[in-house]
Amino acid sequence: MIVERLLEINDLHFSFLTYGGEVKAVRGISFQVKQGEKVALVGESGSGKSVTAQCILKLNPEPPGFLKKGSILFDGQNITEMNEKGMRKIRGHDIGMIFQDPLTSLNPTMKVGEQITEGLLSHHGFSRKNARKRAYEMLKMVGIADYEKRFKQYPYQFSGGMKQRVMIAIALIHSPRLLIADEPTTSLDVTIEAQILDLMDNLQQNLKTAIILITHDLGVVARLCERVLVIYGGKIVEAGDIDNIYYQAKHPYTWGLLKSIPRLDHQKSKKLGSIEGTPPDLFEPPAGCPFAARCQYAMRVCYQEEPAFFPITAGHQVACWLLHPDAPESAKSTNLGVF
Amino acid sequence: MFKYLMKRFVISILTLFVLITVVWILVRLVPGDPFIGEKVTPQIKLNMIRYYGFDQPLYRQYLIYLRNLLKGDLGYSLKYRNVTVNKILADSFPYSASLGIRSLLFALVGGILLGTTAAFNRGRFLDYFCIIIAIIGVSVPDFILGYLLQFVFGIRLKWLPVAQWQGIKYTILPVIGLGTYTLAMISRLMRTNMLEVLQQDYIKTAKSKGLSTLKIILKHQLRNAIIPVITVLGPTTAAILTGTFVIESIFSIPGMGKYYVTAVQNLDYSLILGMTIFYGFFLVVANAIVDLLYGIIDPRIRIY
Amino acid sequence: MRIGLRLTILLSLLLVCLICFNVQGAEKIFRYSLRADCSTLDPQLANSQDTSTVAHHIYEGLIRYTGGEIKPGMAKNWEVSADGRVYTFQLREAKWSNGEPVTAYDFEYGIRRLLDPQTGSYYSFAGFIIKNGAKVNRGELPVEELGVKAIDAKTLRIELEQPADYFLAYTGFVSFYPVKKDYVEKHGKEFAADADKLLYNGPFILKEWRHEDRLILVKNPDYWNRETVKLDGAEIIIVTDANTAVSMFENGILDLVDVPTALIEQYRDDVEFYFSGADDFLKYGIDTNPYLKNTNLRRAINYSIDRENFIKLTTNDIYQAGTRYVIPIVSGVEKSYGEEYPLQFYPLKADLKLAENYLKQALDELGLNSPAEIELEFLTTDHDTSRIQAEVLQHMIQQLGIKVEIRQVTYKQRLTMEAEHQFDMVFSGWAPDYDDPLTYLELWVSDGPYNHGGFNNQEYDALIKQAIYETDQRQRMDALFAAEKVLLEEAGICPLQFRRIPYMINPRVKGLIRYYIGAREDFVTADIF
Repeated sequence: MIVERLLEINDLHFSFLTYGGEVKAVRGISFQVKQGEKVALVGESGSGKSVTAQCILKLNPEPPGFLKKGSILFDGQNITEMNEKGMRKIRGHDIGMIFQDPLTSLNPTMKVGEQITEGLLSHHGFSRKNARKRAYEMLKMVGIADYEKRFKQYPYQFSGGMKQRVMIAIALIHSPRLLIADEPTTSLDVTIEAQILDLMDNLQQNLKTAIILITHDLGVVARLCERVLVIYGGKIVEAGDIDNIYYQAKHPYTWGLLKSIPRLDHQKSKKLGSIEGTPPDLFEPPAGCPFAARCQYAMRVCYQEEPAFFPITAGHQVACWLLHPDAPESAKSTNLGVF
Repeated sequence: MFKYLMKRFVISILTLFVLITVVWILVRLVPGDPFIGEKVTPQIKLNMIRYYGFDQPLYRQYLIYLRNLLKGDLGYSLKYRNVTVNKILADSFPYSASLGIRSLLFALVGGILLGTTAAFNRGRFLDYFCIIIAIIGVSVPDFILGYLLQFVFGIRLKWLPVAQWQGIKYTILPVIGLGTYTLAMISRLMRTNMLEVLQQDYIKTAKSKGLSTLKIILKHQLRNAIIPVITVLGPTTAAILTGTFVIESIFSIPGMGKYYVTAVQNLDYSLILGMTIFYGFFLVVANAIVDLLYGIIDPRIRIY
Repeated sequence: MRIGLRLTILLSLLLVCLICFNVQGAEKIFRYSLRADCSTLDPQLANSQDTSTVAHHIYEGLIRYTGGEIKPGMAKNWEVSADGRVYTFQLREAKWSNGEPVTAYDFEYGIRRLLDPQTGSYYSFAGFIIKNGAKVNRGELPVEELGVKAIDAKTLRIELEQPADYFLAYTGFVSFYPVKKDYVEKHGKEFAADADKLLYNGPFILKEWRHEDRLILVKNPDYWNRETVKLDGAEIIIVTDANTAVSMFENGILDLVDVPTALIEQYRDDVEFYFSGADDFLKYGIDTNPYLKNTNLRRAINYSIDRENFIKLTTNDIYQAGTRYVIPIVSGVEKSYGEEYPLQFYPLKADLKLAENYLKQALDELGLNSPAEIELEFLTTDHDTSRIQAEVLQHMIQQLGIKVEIRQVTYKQRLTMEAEHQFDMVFSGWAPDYDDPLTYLELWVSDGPYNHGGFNNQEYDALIKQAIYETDQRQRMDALFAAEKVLLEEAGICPLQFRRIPYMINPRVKGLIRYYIGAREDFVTADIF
């Protein structure tokens, strides 16, 4: 039975126990991903987006980390309750993941081909021959031409972009229903980045895989995704369709992000936009809105109480007191005319 | 690959040659006289010197030695009158090798297991337990450990034989005595490396593929963590295989170990040189194997 | 019921096996250990007591020397000429282990081989008593000129340089054992390298020689006197570590073990002692050190030593204090030398007053004001025990005000320095070669090869010479005693201790003889109950 909601994350709270205390990395994140949907999780370093994504596959190191609250449902199954054995069935098969730094994400002492076929051989009892054939298919699919030769090579013989293609091949080899891409192009240069994104787009269209793209780069988001979730300080501050976010952003943080995208038509003298201030302390997160300290529009209530989600349209929600009916007009609907 | 091996081979031969020459000169510089004895008179000494050809000019002696060496003849021992150095080495080496190989296996397997267990139980009781064993193993000198094992298990408890080398039972205590230091060293290395490797991204990748923990340890972690261990194993293997004085003495094992000391005490030139060549050869071979192994395990280090 | 039956059968089989094993174990094998393997079993190349002890059991010389007694060996009887110079031996019918007969030619060849300079034998000096022995060894005469002749296959004649009472016993010593010429020549350099490269004519055969591991001896079925051999065999295990040997004895693996000094306290009630014959003393560099040239100074030092304390501090009271030079247990004319010529030259404790007296005289003669002007170097080996001995003696001598520096060198180095006369005082010693005071006293003649200190006393030389050529036993022994007194009065050396070895033996072993000459442990006629 195909469930409409492929992935459902409900009120996820995840922390890490360290010497300094409890680091509250994720503080109540909820969202859903539909079959074949392309969702972006946008936020700066430390916002909790990677942790959230790794929660899905339980890849966070569990001794310091622990699930404080919440649940994750995949295909209707509660995977937060699942044991390790069950998770292993899902990992790589139903859900694939690629990581940020392709240079270190592959085992340098193992042949690339072996790393691609590993999962096949152990999981699904493929024969060596069949596994290799499938690997060739994947390598071809991700655009690596001389796949037979490449199969026998080591990672150090691949360029950054090619390594990332290999990662994609590994992640998609089982045609998983969900692909989580954690900053896949951050460490690649722009031209390669474009290629990888094109590739992901193509593959997604062919395989109908849902994608969760984690990034801090709004430019990348625009290229690939349908929906965007803006995360700050362990919480979602704005969620909406791609047009909502880019043209009708309502959260000051989102404005900040949009402003900081460098543009070709900017004058040279104009300074690059930035958001003043530093991310919140995750040991003692603020009681109110996590962005309040850096927000030029912050009101007193922002420091005191966490804002609720205010719906703008059907698919667009913002967690900001500015959208409260009682907020002063001057602050409302301020669209800095970014686009 | 072939070119590399050739190059390596030539360098090894040169190294050995320099080693032999230096030692050949050094033994003759050591104060004392190989033929001196409580009851040796000048005439007796003269007879013995003539018998061994030591009355020839030095350069001649050296050349004769080299010539014989090329023929594989290490000469007769100065102390054991009718026994060739070749025979002494051939008789004693199997015991040392047997002891050495067992100790190495013990150290390797034990060290990897201990280190990996510690890494996986980091911060918990098992980790501290393994660390303590490692520290004790590295700090306790072999003669103390040897005597202790002998006393406790051989004399007090009478569970195991006190000495000699005549069956599996006899090997247990000496192997523990000899291998513990290396085991401790390897376990500490493994622990550190495994922990380090655990932080690496490719472990996350492997996990995300759905591989089991065991598979991840065996295929991904071990291979990367073991490289520093191999570095250390090279010279350690050479040293352990060619006999150890203390353990062999305590447990009365007729290996090569004692010759390191007695040959020098007796100023037995031919045996000293024979031991040096033997050990040097092992060291050179062990190092070459280590370099080759690097290349096999980590393709980035391949120098050929 | 079926199970019960099966179990019973199994158990009885087990019992039978055990009994069989026990029956096998009832073989009488005597087990003991050596600190180091025999460096060689070639009789003429033997140079250690370990080797000569083992050789005593697998070979036989003209006579067999057991615990100080001379018994016929390969020779069934012998005659000595009136002037004591010519010995004629009649050999019995006896066989080598390969079936060939033992002949006088074998003895002739063996003894010639000992003296032949080409053999390079360490113990060739043992044969210097034989006519032309020294000259042959120097290469001045061909080996055929040696005073050893095989008259026929069963008759051997030996001519000596001068009469020597001890010579007969000496023929039981390993250097004089017979060897077959064709066998030696066949094996060349490999002769004696292994158990199968040797021929045996003694009570036991060397069945197996696992080098550095053990020697396995079995009873020789062809030995002429085989009825006296009660053991089935012996196993000599090489155990380098003295402590391990004691542990093996405790566990019943060894039947005999020497107890190291460090463990003596634990076993003091269980040990027996025997004198090893080793005599330790200080050698003085008389001809090289200007101070030690002075006899009174040496006397002063000799009297400053508290020998009783020295023994207690350095050997846990195991050794015996050397208050004279010659060990009293060596044979005299009829009884032991010590019984016939008792002497306590030095008091057990030091005599500091006497020492001070001599010191004063010495300072006067040397023209010195204070003993502090005298600096002496004490040379010894680099072992820990040597260090302790040196420090104790240093402390005692420094009571006189003399400065003493300790220098430790390797054993070989020490011997070399002694040979080259490069020492002031050196801790030295001597082990006996034959059962007679002369073995200790002949060292100190002024032209003696072992007189590294340069002791030079005409009276002493004359007395020794007299003893060597004297035919009357009593007069000879008197001369030797007189010589000993001269040596002590002139303080040629400083006697320190006579070594006693503590050992433990399995009470089931009977008839083991430990003697200071010849075989250190003699189990030819031993038995196990």
